[in-house]
Amino acid sequence: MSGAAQTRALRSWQVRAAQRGAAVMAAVLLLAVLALLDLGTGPSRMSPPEVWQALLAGPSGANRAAATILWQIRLPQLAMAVIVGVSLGLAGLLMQTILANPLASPFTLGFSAAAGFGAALAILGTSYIAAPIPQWLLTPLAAFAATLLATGMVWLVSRTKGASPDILVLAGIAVLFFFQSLQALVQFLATPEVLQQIVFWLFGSLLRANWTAVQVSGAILLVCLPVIIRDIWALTALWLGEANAASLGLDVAALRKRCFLITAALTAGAVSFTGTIGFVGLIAPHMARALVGEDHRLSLPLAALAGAVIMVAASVAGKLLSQGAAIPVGIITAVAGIPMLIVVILRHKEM
Amino acid sequence: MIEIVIPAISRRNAVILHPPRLGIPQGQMLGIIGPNGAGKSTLLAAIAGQVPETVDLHRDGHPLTRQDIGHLPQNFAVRSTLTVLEAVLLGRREELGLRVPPALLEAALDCLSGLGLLELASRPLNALSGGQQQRVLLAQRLFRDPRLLLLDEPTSALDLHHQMEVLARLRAHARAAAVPVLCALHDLTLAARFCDRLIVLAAGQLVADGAPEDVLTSGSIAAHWQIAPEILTCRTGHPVLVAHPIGAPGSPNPAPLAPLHAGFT
Repeated sequence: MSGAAQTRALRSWQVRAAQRGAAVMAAVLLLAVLALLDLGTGPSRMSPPEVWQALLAGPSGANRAAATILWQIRLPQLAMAVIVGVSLGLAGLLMQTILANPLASPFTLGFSAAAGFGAALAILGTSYIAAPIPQWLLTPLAAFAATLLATGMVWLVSRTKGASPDILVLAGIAVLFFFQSLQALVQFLATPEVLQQIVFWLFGSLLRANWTAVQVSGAILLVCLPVIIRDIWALTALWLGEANAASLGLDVAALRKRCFLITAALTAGAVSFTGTIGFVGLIAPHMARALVGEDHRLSLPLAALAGAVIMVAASVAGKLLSQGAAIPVGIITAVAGIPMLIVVILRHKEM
Repeated sequence: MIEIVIPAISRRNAVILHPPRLGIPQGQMLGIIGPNGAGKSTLLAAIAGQVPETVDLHRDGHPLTRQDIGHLPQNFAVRSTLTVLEAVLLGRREELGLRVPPALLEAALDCLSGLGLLELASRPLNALSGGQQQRVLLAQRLFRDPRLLLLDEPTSALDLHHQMEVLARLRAHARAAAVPVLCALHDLTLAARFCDRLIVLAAGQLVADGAPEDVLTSGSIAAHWQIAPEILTCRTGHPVLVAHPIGAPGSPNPAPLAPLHAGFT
């Protein structure tokens, strides 16, 4: 009797594991297809055989125009889309887990507003004085520095008042409005030309991607990954609620602070080069949890993959919708994100 | 023997808990009883290391850490969609790798089976009733196999059958694993039946400590719970408490209204 029930439970566990594995594999496959599509689309309208040949010929292929388009524009843009999607997907799931809030995202604690302020300040500054480093590097550096500043502010509050979700969210809201106001001030001071540049940065676009950007953002992601993997079961346990997780010997406050720092690093790495890209970090974790549940061994990779899928799909859509100049991905994800957000709200009846 | 030394715990300048040292032999089931606000939950949380004050814990002279303690708090409710089996496995989170070891999976199923929860193994936690959730989280703490179990009203959401089953199981676990089990309980009849020893807390002070029959006297119950008690003896020799409001006609010795647990045999 008990033996049969045990076999049944074991079988159901195995079936579930297989289903979840299949979901992850399907996401990998979907990402691969979208990546090929992304490489094949663009304003230059290269034909698929041309793209394929340029890919095989390598960065120094005989057809210079094709090689440059593919290896200096499309590939870094694709790599950036994947890195940004993965970073925001992971950061979003971490935020939703440590804040125990389905509407949390990497931007909940004000990191995106800070990055936007840093970028705006850099753009405004260089319109007055010539910077010793090129603009394409200065703006992300300033965005990154401002994100670190915002992180420091939230950190200081959590040091003195504890790292409970309420305190973190309240501190995050304060930081968010603080940097939003500063950003408005910078925009007010800017000339129309500079203002246009600032607004374009805030849209969030892959056009700014190059191999240096890919290397920097990719390195940040690679450094964060092992730290996240180490905490994979601790994060799963946190879904049982703070009291239960703590009584399993888990130092919840330390875990929260660790994840909050990782989220800051991932978000800064993702948005500094591309600008603010909304909704990916909110929607991707929901897709992952809807498909595989709260076991972080699967929901983390799937949130990362979902983020990458959304980003690459947005990139393809941006290029297809406007043949001449691609629509910035930040606009696509924001517009497409609204209906997805409504679905999320409707799914969470007892929120 | 586990020895616990608890410092005075104060909040807003008022001492809310000041029990002296406690010594609990291995395998003992210790019931913590007392009226609301007496400090039962605070005592368990303090021993579990969840207050800022440092509590000294030793087992046969060796210090115990937070990892050695299984604590089931009172506010256990979960909204998670993790399955029952996943939740129980999390009890031994430290032993789980990226793959769940098959031996551990089997042990978790055995543990569920022991509490009659095997049928629920693949159900999500948020689809369970409060009582089922409580039993699953208790299974998780038992699966953790801690050196010391601290349970804050482990039967608060359970029906009578499961209250008895769970307490009997806890006592069996205490004996078999030779660990002390500390249980905060409200039901004095159940406490008397399943605990080897009872301590009574009132306003943060330890006011009585001993065998159930010595601790649960009419006088102490009347003093601390503000009721007129009547203690009957059931067929098995266990005491059954009947509570009457103080000042009710004929109390403290009125005709029994209804025993708290009529089916106690």
